[in-house]
Amino acid sequence: MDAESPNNPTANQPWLKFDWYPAGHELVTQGGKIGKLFVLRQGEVEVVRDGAHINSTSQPGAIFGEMSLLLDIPHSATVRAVTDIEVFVIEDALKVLEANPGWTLQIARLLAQRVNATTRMLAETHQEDIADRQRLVLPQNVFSQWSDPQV
Amino acid sequence: MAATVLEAAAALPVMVLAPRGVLVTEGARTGKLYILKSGNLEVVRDGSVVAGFGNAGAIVGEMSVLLGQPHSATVRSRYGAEVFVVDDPIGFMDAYPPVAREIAQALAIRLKKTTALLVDMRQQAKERQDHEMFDKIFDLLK
Repeated sequence: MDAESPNNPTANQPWLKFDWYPAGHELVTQGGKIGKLFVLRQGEVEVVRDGAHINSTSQPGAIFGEMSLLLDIPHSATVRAVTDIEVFVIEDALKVLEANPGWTLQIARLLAQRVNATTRMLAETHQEDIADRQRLVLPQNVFSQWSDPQV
Repeated sequence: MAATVLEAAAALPVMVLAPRGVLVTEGARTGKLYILKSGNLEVVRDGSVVAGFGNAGAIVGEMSVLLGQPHSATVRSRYGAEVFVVDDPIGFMDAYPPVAREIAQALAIRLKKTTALLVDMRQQAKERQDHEMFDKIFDLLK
C-alpha cells in the first residue's frame, strides 16, 4: 500500500504500520520477544504452543503479542499465518499503550474473553477426562463387587 | 503496582464486610468493581472455596465488568474486610490508566496459567488415548 495514499489508515499514525505476510509466516515465535503488537486485518492465523494447536482465528481486530508485552516475558506461543494475512503492526507498543490508555482497556477486555474461553475449554476437557476415567475404572468396580463377600 | 491501584482508589467509598459477609453473589450483576483495602476475601464456586487472597489492592469483578456478564463466583470474607467500591468501573479505568494496566496484567497471568493447564490436560488425554489404542492393537496381536 502506498504510504501517501488517502486510503492508507496508517498515514497519520507513524507508529501504526500496515503489513502483509504469506501463509506459513510466523508472526510471533514462542520464546521470542519483539515488543510489537499485531492486529489482524484480514486472513486466518493459528496459535500453537509447544507444538500443540491451541486456537485459530480469522476475526479482524484480533490482537497478538499482548501477553509478552504486558508481562515483559517471551512469547508464550507461536502465532502462524494459515492464509495470506494483512496486519497492522504497532512498533514500540509499550510507549503507544501509555499514550493511548483506552487501548489497554480494549486489551483487558480481549484478555477477559480469552480467559473465559480457555476456562470453559478447561472445564470441558476436565469433564471428558472424568468420563474417560470412569469408563476405564468401571470394569474394575464390577470385578471388585464379584469378589466382595458382602454382595 | 498494587500501590498505584490503592492510590487511585483512595477517594472511593468503602464498604465494610462483617465476618462471613458476602461481597458479590454468583450469577448476580452488580456492574461494579471492588478493590480490597484490608482484610481478606475468598472465592466460592459451587459451594467450595476455590481461591483466597488478602493482598490490599486486589481487584474483584473485572471479568464481569469487561465482559458485561453476571459474576461467575461468589466472593465473601471469612474474617471481615474493607473494600473500595467503584460504581463506574469503565470511567475509573479511563481516568487511571495504571489500573487498566494492572487489570490487563492480572488477566494475562491468568490466561497464561489456564492455557498452560489446558495444554497439559490435552496432552495427558492424548497420551491416554494413544495408550488405549496401543492396548487394543496389542490385544489383536495376541
